Amino acid sequence: MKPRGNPLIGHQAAAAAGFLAPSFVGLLVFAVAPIFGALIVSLLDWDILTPPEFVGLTNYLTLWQELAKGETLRQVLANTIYFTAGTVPLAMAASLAVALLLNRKIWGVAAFRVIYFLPSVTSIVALSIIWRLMYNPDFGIVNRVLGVVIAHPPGWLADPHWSMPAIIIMSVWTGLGYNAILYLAGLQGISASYYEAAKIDGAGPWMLFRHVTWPLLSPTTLFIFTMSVIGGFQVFTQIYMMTAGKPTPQTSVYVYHVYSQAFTSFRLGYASALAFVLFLIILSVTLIQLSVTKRWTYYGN
Amino acid sequence: MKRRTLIGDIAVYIALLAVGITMLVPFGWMIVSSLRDKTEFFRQVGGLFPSGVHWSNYLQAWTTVPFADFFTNSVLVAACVTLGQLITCSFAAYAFARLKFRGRDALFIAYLSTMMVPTQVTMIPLFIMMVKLRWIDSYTALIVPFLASAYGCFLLRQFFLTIPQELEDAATIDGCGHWSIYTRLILPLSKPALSAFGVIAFLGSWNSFIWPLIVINRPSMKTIPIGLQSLQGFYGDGNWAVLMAGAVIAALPMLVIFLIAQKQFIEGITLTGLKE
Amino acid sequence: MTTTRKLASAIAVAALAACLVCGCGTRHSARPQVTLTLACWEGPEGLVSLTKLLDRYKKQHPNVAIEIQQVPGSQYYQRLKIQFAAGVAPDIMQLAYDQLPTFAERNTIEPLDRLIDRDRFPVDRMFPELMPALKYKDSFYGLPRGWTTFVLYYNKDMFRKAGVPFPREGWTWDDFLAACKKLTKDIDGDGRIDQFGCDAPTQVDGIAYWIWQNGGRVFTPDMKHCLLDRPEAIGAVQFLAGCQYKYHVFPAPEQAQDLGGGGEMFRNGRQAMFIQGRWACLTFRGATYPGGRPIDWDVGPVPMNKQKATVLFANCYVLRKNGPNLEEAWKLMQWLTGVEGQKHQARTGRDMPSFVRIANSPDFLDPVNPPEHDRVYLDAARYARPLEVDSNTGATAEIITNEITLIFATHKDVRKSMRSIVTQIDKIQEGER
Repeated sequence: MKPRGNPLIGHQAAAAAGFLAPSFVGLLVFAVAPIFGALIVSLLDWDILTPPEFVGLTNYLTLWQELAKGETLRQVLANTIYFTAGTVPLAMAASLAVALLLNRKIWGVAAFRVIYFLPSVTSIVALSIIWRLMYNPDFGIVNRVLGVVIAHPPGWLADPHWSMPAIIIMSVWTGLGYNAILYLAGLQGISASYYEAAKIDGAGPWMLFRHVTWPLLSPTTLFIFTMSVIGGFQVFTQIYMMTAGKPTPQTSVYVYHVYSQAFTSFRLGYASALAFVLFLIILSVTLIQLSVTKRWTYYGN
Repeated sequence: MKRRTLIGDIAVYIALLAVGITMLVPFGWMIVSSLRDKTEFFRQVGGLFPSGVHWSNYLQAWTTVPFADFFTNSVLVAACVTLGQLITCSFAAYAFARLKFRGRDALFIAYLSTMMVPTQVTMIPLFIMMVKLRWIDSYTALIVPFLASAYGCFLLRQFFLTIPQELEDAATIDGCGHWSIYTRLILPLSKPALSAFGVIAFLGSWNSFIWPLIVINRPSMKTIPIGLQSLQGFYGDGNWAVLMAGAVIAALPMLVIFLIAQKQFIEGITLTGLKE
Repeated sequence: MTTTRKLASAIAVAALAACLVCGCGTRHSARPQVTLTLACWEGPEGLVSLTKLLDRYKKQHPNVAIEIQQVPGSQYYQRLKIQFAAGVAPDIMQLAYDQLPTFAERNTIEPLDRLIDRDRFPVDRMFPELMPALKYKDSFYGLPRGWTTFVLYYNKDMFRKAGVPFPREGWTWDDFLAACKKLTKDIDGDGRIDQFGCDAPTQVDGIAYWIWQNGGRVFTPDMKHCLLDRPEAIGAVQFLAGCQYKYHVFPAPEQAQDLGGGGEMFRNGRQAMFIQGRWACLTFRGATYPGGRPIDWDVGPVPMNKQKATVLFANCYVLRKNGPNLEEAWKLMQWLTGVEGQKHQARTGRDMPSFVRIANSPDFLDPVNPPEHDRVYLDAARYARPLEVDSNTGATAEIITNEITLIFATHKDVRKSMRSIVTQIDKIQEGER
């Protein structure tokens, strides 16, 4: 029954303005305006202490040259892709496995959930410090344990070949609980009727997983995938805390590079240009995800 | 429900236990290391357990950098940001979910699109803004830019949409204006969503790293994450014991809050995974 | 659930109340007439020493309060630049002498000639070798808290055990390498080297003097070109790279206990030699082997090749240009870098005094604490040079440091590295940036 002559209709626009004002102003000033600000800054050469100088597209040209000539930026981008490609599949597989285990509703599952979630609520600064100690080639617990079975355990953070894998492992460990909870929600959203129908058809556990669980999880999977990839490209804190980009440039990643160009070397214009390129990369990834979603997601039809 | 065998259950239990141990070992190692004497970190000398319990490491960590200030700052900033976001986002969510006006959907999409832009793009111009406004080293710089959150608007709108329209219609007939509907109907019914989102916002602000790193220089104005980082700057590889003690001090509050408010945390995380 | 909400509301109310009380800005302590802000990179022990010194100043000047801003070294200059840009720079700051041109060029620090002449600060009583490091374009910009030459610390126990003569004046690269070889050992026979001769440089001030000793330079005198691709420079770096990769007398990254450069291995009795400035005394006094036995160490001169050379380092204080408390800050600076401050610093073992008289007194030539041969620092002054610096030093030093890391951590070819450095640096020096 639709109300007629709703006394509030005329006031809705005014009320809306009132309700929207705080967030609108906040977002306009601190989210939208800076985007244009960043664009402008990327056209400048500025070190914050002396007046800026307009240089047009020079920063972007420099960026392109660095990529093309294989200088620092190419290594940085490669490292970022390496990190993302290493973390995402590992993180997703591990957290899915854990979620499947948690889904079994065994006694004490709640306690396990809490334990797995601990790293996610702990500041990654503290976690980075702990893992730095654990990775110490000489007396860290990782090598003490490994040293029992392997003669020469790797140097981890000090060794250029092992520093990125070290950070990848740490990052997967940190995000495990978080992603597992997401998967768990997805798993619990699958109606039991699907499983029953499949079992009637005689499906065993593996078939159940492949034909019921996996397809019905695809929205969650795709969500976690996209978030993880975007997060991978934006990784910063662990790098800053554990290696500060050394052994240079083996672990310097994109955002670390932006940070150091902006706030250590004070090349604000160039750093802004770098940030914009990152934006484009992330945008592309998200658009690809959107189009893939339409093709691959199974919403239970 | 899948058929369960005892062996299956035991296998799962062992697996869960193994993962649980992997999760806990670093924390345990952190605590054990924080109690060691700093010379015990060498292969030749240190065993698995410390020789004695050196609580002095904690005192040293606490006094080397102003942890008391870090705590105050973190609590203040996170509380203000959370409160601010709860207010601004629930306002906006109400408008988007319940009010009709021209351009509403377009505006909502505009809000959402601000989430697409990575923070690294905006942090440089925001930094310049902080410098020019002289907000460097102030609470203002840590709080004000984060009072609005497109993400929060999105989440809360999702939830508000699930509140039956009939309830609101009934209230309107009773003579309630939008403000009353908002305060007396929508807010009370949204407590789960609000507390879940509030917890997420609090966590996000508490653990925020790169922004405070950029805008705060004075040690007394630092928040816990960057305060802990400065402790590493001073002790680096020189005194792992004190550094670990500092890490324990820094991690403790959030862990305690988490243990108290587990349900809210988990609900909040699950909310973020909601599909459209 | 309700508990959490109550908790949250309580925190929020308390926070807002606190905010109102304190104001949403920075905080103030009690209010005497003048509050000076002093920025430094001192670690915890250095801070104790500095505080003691400042307490004495405050007793003599009760109207002055001093707020110390302690920032870790790795972020120190970043912080300062941001503070300058935001208009919140400290009144008086510690600055390494190699940063003087950078800050002077950007008009952020006060030129001191006028004040030095007016108040007759005795710069003529300082070591003459120190003067160039304190000036930019012939004006004084900083006064030193203290300075140091780089000398070679050595572990006497290890030298005696290996039968190697102690480092002495005029010893050469060959002597150095021979000593390293004898001092690098696998002590407990487990197949891993436990003791190393020395360690690889990690920064430009760890490599410059080797290049000078080989007859090379880092820059041309007018600073327009980098000379690291000349044979003298390449030869010096190749010698050091050889120590690590050919003779294995320097620890490789995975063998090092730390991420390099901090002297940790020498301090823990795992390394026989370590080249550094006077401040290392602070960490090495009281150093013990794992297990508690004290390390018997001393200092000697760095080795020489074609010529004798070592690097000096001056730890300066500078003043904020046209700061609101300039006169008070200048008074404090005179005290910190004058006789009082010099004596204090000398006794703590952190610095060499800049005044010749104090350097030759028991305040510095400490007969009690190690090292035994404090004279070594003074003798090295005769052939010590400051690094070649200009206003681009921040950027150029970083380029050099990055390549050095690549050489010693990833075995990058020395020639390639040096050429890469020169290409990058010349671009900057020619003003293309």
